Amino acid sequence: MLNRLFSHYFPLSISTFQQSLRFLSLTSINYKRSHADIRDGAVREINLHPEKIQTPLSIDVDKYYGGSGQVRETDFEKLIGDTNNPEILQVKYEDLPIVHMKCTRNNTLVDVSDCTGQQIFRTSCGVVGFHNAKKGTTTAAQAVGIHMGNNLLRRNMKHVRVVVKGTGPGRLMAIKGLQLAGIDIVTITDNTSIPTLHVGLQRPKKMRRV
Amino acid sequence: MWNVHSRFLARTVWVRNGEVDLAYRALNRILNNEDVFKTARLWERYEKPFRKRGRLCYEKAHEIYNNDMERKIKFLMRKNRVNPWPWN
Repeated sequence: MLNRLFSHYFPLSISTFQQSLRFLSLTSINYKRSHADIRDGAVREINLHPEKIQTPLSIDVDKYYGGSGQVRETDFEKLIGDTNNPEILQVKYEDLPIVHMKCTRNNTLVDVSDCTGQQIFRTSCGVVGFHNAKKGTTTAAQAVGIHMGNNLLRRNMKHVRVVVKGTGPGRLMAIKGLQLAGIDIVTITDNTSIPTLHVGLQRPKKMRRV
Repeated sequence: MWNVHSRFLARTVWVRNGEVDLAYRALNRILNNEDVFKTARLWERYEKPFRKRGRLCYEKAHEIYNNDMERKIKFLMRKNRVNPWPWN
């Protein structure tokens, strides 16, 4: 009776509640112990977020993030060089040459500079022999890396730090090209320009509609 | 501190044992967590105010939906347990 009166307000809740009460009363007398055991929650263990197994491809970012992977002021005087050859002088980190990589959508420009900032040498995808749209590809970036690497070896600069600027297809492959040529990369820094809001900010171009 | 080397203090990552791939991936992960690429992409071209308003509304709705969905899934997974009435 009551069920019918309130059925259109609470269509589901009251009927199920009554049913469950009836069910409990039937079962609890005969199977009290088992019901009490299960009531306390025999839950099957489910791993919703399983722990990540450290494979060679997965990285623990915390090690780099504020840990020993980050460069500090005291690290600038760290000596870098071949530990196997004691004859070759070890160089301080702040005296290493810098390789700048500007990775745009259509091209990648790479140039080397001294520790002070004086430019020594520069290349780009056009120098290596690509034209037009093919300059903005990963293969062209790798070729640029190899070209730059060979030139660095010629000038006897084996240890190098890399600065990457911009998002583009040549971001990773240029570094790989350097590595293939046989150069020891010490650090990778990121220098993508993040414009901040201030009074003198130049408004960028309007959106492209194709 | 004005120094040529000051920009090497932030957003840098050491390369260990010649593993450039891992270092690059770690750097990318850090930058993605801090939304560096997102802001760079947004400011590449000017985003008009009406589009900005629409984007913010969409992001808020997306977050609300995601949070509620996670709550629902957590709640429903409580049903995933050993059958309390195995005799049936």
